[in-house]
Amino acid sequence: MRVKSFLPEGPGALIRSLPGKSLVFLSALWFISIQGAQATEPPLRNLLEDFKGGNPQSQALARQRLPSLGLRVVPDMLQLLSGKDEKLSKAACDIILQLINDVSAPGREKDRKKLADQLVPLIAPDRSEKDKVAGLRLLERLVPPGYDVAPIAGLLADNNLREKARTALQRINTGEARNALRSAVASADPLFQVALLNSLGEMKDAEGLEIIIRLAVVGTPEVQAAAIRALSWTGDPSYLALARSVRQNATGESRFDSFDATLRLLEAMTARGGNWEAVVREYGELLKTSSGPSWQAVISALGQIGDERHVDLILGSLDPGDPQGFHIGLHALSQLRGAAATHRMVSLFPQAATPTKIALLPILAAKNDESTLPHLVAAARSADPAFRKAGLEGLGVSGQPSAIPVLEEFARSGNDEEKKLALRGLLTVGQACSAHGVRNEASRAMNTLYQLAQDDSQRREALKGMASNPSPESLDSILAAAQVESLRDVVFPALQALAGTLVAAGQGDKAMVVYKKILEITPGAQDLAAAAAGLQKLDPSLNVAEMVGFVTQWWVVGPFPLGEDKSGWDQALIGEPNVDLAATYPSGDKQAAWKRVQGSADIGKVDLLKEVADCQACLCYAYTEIEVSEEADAVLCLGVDDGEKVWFNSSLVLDNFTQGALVLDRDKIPVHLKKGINTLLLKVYQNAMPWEFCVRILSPEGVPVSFTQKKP
Amino acid sequence: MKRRSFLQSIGLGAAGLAWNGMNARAARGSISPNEKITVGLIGCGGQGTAHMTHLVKRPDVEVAAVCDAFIPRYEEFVKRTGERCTGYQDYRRILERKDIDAVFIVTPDHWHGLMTIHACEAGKDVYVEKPLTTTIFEGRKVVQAARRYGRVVQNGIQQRSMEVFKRSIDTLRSGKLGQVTHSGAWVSPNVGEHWTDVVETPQDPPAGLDWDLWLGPAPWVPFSPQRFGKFRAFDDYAGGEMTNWGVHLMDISLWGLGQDAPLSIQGTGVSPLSLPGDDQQMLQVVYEFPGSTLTWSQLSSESYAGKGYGTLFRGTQGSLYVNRESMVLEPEGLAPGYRSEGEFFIRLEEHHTNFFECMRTRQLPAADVEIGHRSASVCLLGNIAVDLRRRLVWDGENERFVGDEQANRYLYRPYRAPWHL
Repeated sequence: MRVKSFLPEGPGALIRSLPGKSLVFLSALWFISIQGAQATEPPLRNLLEDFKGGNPQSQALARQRLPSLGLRVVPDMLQLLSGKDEKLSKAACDIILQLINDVSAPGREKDRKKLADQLVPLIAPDRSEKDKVAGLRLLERLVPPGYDVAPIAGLLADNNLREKARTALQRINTGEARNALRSAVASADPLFQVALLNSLGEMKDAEGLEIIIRLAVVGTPEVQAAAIRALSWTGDPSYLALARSVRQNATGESRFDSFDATLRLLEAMTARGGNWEAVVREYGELLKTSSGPSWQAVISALGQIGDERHVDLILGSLDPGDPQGFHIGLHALSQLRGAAATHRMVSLFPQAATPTKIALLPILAAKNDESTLPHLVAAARSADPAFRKAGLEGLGVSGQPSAIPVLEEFARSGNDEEKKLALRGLLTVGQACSAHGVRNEASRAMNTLYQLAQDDSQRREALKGMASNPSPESLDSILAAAQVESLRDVVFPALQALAGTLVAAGQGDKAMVVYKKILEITPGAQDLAAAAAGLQKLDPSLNVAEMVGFVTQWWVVGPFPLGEDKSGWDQALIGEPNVDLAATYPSGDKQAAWKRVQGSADIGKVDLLKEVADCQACLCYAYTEIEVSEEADAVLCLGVDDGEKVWFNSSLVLDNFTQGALVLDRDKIPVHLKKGINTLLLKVYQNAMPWEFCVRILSPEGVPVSFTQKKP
Repeated sequence: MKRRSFLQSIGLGAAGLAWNGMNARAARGSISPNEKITVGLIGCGGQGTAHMTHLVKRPDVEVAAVCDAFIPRYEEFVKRTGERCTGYQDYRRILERKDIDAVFIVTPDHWHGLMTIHACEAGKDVYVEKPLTTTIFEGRKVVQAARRYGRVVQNGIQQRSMEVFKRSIDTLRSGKLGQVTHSGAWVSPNVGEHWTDVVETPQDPPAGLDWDLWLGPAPWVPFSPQRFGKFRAFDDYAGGEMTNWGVHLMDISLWGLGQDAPLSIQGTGVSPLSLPGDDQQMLQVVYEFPGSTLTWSQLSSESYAGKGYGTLFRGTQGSLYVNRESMVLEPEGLAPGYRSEGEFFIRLEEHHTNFFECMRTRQLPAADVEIGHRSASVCLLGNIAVDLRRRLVWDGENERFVGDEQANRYLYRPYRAPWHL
């Protein structure tokens, strides 16, 4: 029993289930551990001495360590807090604050209450104002739910401290704190009533609504407006009538406050949902009596939540003489959602004043609705240059396919500015059509843009558009673009896409032209591979590989083991760099002999798994001879899965032991071709999975070098 | 105080002396006065000087009013513009003027939120310096007011308009770094009298300073030159370096990561050098986002890629380091780097231009108020995490901590009456 009462409750439950001897042993351990912990705790007195008068570093260290001692440092800190040394007083306050934050963590409710009990005396009537102010600032972070806030509430009657007490209670925001603020409202002067109402509103005090409603009726105009503001968070439509009445009674500055409070109530109603009719009706009421920023706020709100029924209201109130209000009204119209709202704008458009019409055109255009086109087209064909400009801009923004013919017309025959606008419009419409999957129209817009483009930037955009939306009609434009050096990076995708489309459309002859064009203008490896594959598919008899500089005739021998520590990589397994095509070499329990193989017809790829062996961690050799008529500088371009050593004319020019899939032209080696026969020997490493390579020979400028090889 | 040192103390100098001439040239420009945007500048300190220096060069803008709670400051601005603008002590007088289209709010931080709300209510568009607010509750109220009154509100996180940062974001979006899983932002610590370890010497305010107005919604305290001159060292008005450079640098993190609110925050701070003030001297904060993390560091000699401050991104294929001077990539050649040209440290022109364009088109600006609010929030959350020293779980949609009643008290600080949100 002694043990049970001695042990804490949690471990006790476990220990009660143990035999008697174990209990004595564990109790002794626990006691020792407690003593040990106390012995290793930082000595409070030493830390306090350092804190009060040590050098800056030991003072800082003490400041850091004191909170770890827990609540037992509080009495000393409170003493320092009230002391005259401002620096220490501030630091003591910071330590208490850190303790407040520690004990306010979830699960430490008892410590939190205990610390609150220690701090409340700071605000007792006999304490200095400095202590009270510090106490309030600490307690507002600490006082837990359910804690008596009467000592703080008592300060609401102190004219010097009521503001700090109010804000402290607001920050505490427990049921007790809200009740204290509520209870203070009735007896407060109007100025403080407004402050208290602001607190209750920000705290969303549901229990105080009755008191707030009463003040909205009997308070001064300022108090009434504050009361509506304090009710507004509820979004309760039943307060609209009260808000209206407060607005009617408002005087001076309370006019704006009561209006603003109503806006807040309407916002909360909108967020709450289910009161749309009441909300828009009230906004309509507000509009009748508002002007300037208030009017702008209502118009903005109607733009966000209104529908076709508000088009007349907003459009009718637009005044070009008030530029700011005019723009806000236009923005509201632009925000109105739904096709019906757009159609209403379209039908009211003819009645609008000229400046309004011009300003409305971009808004109609941005609705992306076909019903707006007649107005945009009419504007584009207007004699008035301002209308023409707005119309042409609008046609582009509209993104409508039926805008394309009009834009084409102006792009061909308009004046300079009109051409610019029309070309920009064609790009925008083309992009919109592309985004919506209207491919033929997108292609048409981009093709026209290319043909009439005024600079390379437009041509590039057009080519990108044609690549995304390939069409046989774009053939001439894209082939012409292929001749322009500065467009090369964007023309390849367009050529590839076009070739694919031509094949799909059964126009193989034209596709062949496109593929050959790709090969002709020396593409990068990826484009080359794609074009070669496409061309090969169209005419299996073609050896595309040879056409573009790939080496296709090889002898291979292997496999040879890589060996421990890749010893095979460093050994001359065939006596390289010398090559004897008649020789044979030990390969496992067999003799390996040179074998003649041919690379694939597209990129000259040699599949070593098929031609040599299906093995892992192994090696083989590949040898070839190429003949050139003139000596020249060149670049050997190799793609190998996995690694390779390369001897060119018996000189080692690359040692790249690596792993990875075949990437065309991964390794580029500058070499000098001598007139006549040149030899090329590869030692190819296989790690696992595919085992293959391909080689092509280019000039330093990237053009395929012309060479011959002996065929089998 | 000698005239020269006085000018320096309020942030005026050679730039200020040129305002008059520049303004006169602007007035002779080709843009007619009725097309000009009329601006009021609130806050005539160091950053106010930087804005004014840029604004007076613009032919499309007329600075018609300046304001500061300390009369000598605005008087100096009025003088430097050749009396072409009117000076006020109370910003509400500027808001009353019908001819003012927009205000620039360049005050200490504790005024940013409320002045923005009041300006919106008065029908003005607003350029407000960062941080948008000093509490998250206040920030949401500012966003609501901007939307309620249909105003254009640009936050002064001007890096959103700077070429080097736009290129960095483009590079991130291009996928060249692979999947971006981490961002870090760093700057020097809160060391020195400007930030911490400030000992107050309360006294009467100087002639011409309306101390009650300067305090505004913040708790009333006696005047001290430290609070007036080093406001960032006091929690009542700011949040240390975290809400100064932190807003700029972590705004880029949020932009690059494509995030606006963390899932959780943990932080710690120490002051190993001396007794601290309101802020810890060295800080580290870790934020958790869906699919990525963000760290904020204020540590001695912190430097990455040779940059003493900046923002970094780490992806599965490489890393990107950016500050106002340059963008650097690792491994080199992953994508083209970029080096800023000319004046870059306080480069405001592009951000101003974006603001004025949006005033005309009513489109959302580059650093719209919601962006400003989220970027300030991440810093405010960091400071709360450092204060509370525990993992905080954040509900970004409702802007509340989950399961931590006390932490939620740090989300707002009631205003001193008669000011209210």
